[in-house]
Amino acid sequence: MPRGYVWGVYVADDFRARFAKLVDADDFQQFERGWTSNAVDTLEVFPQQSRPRKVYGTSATTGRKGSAVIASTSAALWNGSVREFRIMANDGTADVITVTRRVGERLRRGHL
Amino acid sequence: MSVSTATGLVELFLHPPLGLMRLEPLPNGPYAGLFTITRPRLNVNVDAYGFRYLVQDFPAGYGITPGPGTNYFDRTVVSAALTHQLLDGAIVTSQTGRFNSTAAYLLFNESFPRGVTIETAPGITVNLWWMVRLI
Repeated sequence: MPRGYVWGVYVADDFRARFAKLVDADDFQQFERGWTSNAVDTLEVFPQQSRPRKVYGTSATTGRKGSAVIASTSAALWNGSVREFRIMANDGTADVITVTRRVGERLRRGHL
Repeated sequence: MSVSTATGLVELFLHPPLGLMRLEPLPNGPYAGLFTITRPRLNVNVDAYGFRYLVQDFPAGYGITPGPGTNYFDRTVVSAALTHQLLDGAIVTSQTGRFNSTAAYLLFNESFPRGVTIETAPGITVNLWWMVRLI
C-alpha cells in the first residue's frame, strides 16, 4: 500500500478544464475514483475556494461515514456502475463505504 | 353547464383521487428553459388538475443519488409556479414548487390556473404530462 500523496488530474464538468490536484496515494490507486496522471505536470493547480465533486456514503458494517473526491464525471463511482469505495479509517483499518449521495463540483474560477 | 348532484359540483373543482386520473402527454417535448404551459378549454385556461414531469437529460456533472421510486439531484432541477387571475384582473402567483427529483407531480391547490410556468435548470430537459380526469 503506497504512502503519501501524488498529483492527479481533475477533469471539470465541461471536460475542457483540467487541473492538477493533490490526492492521497491510496485513493489514487482506486480506479473507481477516476484518477489519472497523464501530463499532470503541465496543468494548473486546482483553484482555491473551489469544491470538487464528491460522493458521500456510510459503511454498512461500522456505520462510519466517508467521502471521496471524484476526478471525472466518467468515473465509475460517479456514473453509478460502482457503488462502494474503500477508505482508511482513523484507527488505521480499512472500511468499505456505500455511496448514498453525490454532490457536483463548484469551481470558483472562470474557465473555458 | 349543469350538474345533477352536489357531488358533481364538488368534483368539478376538486381533483379526483390519483387512481381516477390519467396522464396526457404534452406535445413538442422535451422542454427546457423558462416556459409557460396551458391547456385551454372554453373560458378555462388550464383544464387539468396538475402536471407531472420526468427528467430526460441532465449534465454529467449533476450529482445524482439513487432513491426509492425516484432519484434525487444535488440541486433544484425543476421550478414551477402557478398563476391565477383574480376577478379584478390582477394576476397572482398562487402556488410554487421546487423539485430535485428525476420525476414528480404537482396537483393544483386551486382550480383552473391561468398558466403554469416552469423553469428547468441549465442542461435539464423534461417531458411533461397533464393530470386529467380518467374519462
